[in-house]
Amino acid sequence: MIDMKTKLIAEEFVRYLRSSDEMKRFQAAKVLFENDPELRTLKEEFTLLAKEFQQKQHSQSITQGEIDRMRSLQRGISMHPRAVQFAKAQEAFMHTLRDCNTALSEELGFDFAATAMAAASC
Amino acid sequence: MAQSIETARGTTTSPAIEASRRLARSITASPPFQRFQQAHRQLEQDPPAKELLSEFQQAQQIIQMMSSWGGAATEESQQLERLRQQLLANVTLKELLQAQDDLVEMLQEVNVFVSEKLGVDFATLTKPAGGCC
Repeated sequence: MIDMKTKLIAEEFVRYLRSSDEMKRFQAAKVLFENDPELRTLKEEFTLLAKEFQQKQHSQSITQGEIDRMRSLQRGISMHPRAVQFAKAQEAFMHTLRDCNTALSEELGFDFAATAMAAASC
Repeated sequence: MAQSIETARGTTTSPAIEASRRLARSITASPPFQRFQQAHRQLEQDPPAKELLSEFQQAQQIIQMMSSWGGAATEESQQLERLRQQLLANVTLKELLQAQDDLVEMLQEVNVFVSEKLGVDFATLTKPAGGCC
């Protein structure tokens, strides 16, 4: 059970993170990435093709043309300006989170994230 | 980093980093953390318990290695179980394990609390490969 003081300080920590440029940029880039019409079409086509691939895997009836199309879609998505922008913003945000975890862990004497993630005790 | 400030230690940091440190200090002042530290101090003063814990951890490592090679032998598994029973019967180690479980539970709660308000899982996004307390 977290005590009230820790809860208040955790809320303050979240407020600072939410107001950081890194989180603002990450959130804005995420919205753009998720709502771009061209990217949406590419992602939908990719999902459809991936399902077809799974179905055809057993019969080994995947054509070279389909493989090429899949690769082209993958490239189209990952190199799309919105996707590049999102990946960069995400990396910067994760870097900030890692810095916070380092600061937390230095005070605690052990890795906060690794311990808070642990499914069972050591 | 946005809105950087200078700390007494002379390193450049941000308000979020300072807030991280305040959060950590609040955790270290909490009863579960204090109990865990006390249990650790108790272990340091109890050499037989330390030896038993070390033996148990070694047996655990052997089982893990053997599992990764394709399955642990029955003899090793039985030895680990024997050590586990001894460990649970030891007052110092029992207290340490309970204190550790309580502390981990609290840290998980802090992570859930922070993650829900952030909208992303803090520990998952920052977790390094491996490591524990």
